[in-house]
Amino acid sequence: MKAVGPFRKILVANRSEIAVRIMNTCRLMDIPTVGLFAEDDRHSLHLDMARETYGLGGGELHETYLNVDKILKAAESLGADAIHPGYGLLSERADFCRACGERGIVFIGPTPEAMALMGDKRASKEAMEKLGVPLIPGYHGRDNDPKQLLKEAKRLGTPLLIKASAGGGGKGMRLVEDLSTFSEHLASAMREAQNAFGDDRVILEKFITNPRHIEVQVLSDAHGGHFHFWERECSIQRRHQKIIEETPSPALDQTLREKICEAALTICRGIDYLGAGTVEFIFDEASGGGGQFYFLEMNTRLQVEHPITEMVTGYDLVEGQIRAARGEKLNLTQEEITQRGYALEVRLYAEDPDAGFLPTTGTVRSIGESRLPGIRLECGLKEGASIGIQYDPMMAKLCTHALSREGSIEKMRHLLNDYPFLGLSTNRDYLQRILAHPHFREGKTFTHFVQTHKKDLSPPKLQNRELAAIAAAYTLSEKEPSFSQENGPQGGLRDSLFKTLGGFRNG
Amino acid sequence: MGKQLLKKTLVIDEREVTFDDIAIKGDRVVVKIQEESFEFTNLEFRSVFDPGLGKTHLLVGQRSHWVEKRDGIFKGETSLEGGDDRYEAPMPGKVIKIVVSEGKKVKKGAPLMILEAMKMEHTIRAKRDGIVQKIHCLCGDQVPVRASLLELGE
Repeated sequence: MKAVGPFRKILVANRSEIAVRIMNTCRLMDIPTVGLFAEDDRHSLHLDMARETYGLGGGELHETYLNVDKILKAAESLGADAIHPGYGLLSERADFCRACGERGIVFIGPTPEAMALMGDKRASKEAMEKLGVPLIPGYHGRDNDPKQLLKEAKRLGTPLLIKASAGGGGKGMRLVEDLSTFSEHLASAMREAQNAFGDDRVILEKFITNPRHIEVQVLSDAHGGHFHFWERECSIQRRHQKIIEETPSPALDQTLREKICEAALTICRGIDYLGAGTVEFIFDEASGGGGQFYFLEMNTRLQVEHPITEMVTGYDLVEGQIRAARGEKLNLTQEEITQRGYALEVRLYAEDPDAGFLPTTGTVRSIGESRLPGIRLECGLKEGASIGIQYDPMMAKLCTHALSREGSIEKMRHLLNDYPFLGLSTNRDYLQRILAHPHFREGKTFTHFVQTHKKDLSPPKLQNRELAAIAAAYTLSEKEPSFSQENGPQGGLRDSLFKTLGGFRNG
Repeated sequence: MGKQLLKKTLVIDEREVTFDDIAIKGDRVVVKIQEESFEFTNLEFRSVFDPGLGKTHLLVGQRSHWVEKRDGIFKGETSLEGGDDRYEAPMPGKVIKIVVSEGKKVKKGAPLMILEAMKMEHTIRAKRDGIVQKIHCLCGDQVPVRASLLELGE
């Protein structure tokens, strides 16, 4: 690949926090950006960051942020010569990647071939097998007939997982604990896969009882340079989606850590990868030799939780992506990429953890602010933003970095108070309860953590002292003069941000 | 500043709590509940009032709460009348499949309909054996949270 030279302008084909994140690096690199917006999204923060903006009209996602023709037209008419897809949306669509290439626009990401291979769970497992990367036992055959799948399910036995072949993010994924419910789960998984990815093919996998989710960040250039940025552990999940991520993983010793990172590099070299990616593994501590890892999938894009890797390595992964995409040889050696300290990320969702994590809606009235050092707030919302059901319910990511794991957890407990995101029900209290849980503190983090500790993680009954504090705060809030009546996001809002330091005492 | 007596019953996280007294005395707040008395100075909290909901969202200590006055306009419990036989949308979303039809007999645990929000499916299941009396929505409908979806009967 020859050098394509500096980009004149980058179109960011995404929205909200990740668009903000990408535009930040573009700004640092002095590259102008184009921001896109759907009609119902025109007040999103990323549009304030973009040099130029382009409206995609209204309607459902496939008419806006998933509309390849409109987005390419935006790039052409505004003179953008590269597109950064972010994560989700079009980021793993090989057809989009190809369409960019056909119009002479650089897609900031891998080649469409690598993307297509890794986007197909079955084909990727075949390729991994050839490279000698360990795989979980399962069925990845081409026959997608429910009868054949039932036969394979009986062979594998329970518990087993049904996964969308084209999937990600837990969509189209079902856990089957009893074969009598297999057909119902299969139909539901296939329908969800069809809706989310336009492809209802599935694979089956043996379910590991105490798994950890450990992944490796990689970045490759077009000159045969393949680098890993160490691991992240993302075992704390709900509905098969991550909610807390950390690095380094408390489960790995240095030997295993180097082994798992080396396996990720084997994959990058084996498929001649380009750009940033994440190789996900399932880690089974119960296996001998300190544990065994199995290849799960490779995400051929920037990952939601990439900031914690940036915090411990000090490397800007978006900058790396842009440099790799324009054909530069990355000015890096593996030895200089080291982990310093511990970083933690929590994902703040508009959802009700006490009601099965169902999405909530409402208005973000107060985000808050923090002056703590070593933190990141990744958020694309402004106060007054309304959260509907048309987009992902993730509102923000909060990240902390400290010398010790304990230190980063403690910092996060304060950060969640600094950024309370008041105005609608979120999972913030739930995140606090996880952070306080002794098993989390001890690093006993498995992907079933949320189910296993369900009882401990439900809200404790309010004691009289707490009820009294609520009544006192409520009474004071009613008396406080409005701070932001005029500047507030919406008229008539009484936004009392009265806050002083100190505790309370019993009388 | 003199003693100020405020409304004694608050709805905290949809639960009614009665206080014997809530009084602001200078820079202190004194709260009496179930014969216990608590006094607060320099209480750390954040709050926002939502005029639409008529509720205040409060962060006190490590937890956040929804608080409203007892005699507020909003009465959360009224829409929950009807017990187990009325099925309401647990989240705002789109009805993507209605599995049953009116008059159909269903067993406990049987899927009745499927909602989708943010591309996640949620299956509404029968809470007991019964017969579908009435279906209040059509496939493809966008429904708000707590919208009545379906009724079950004998």
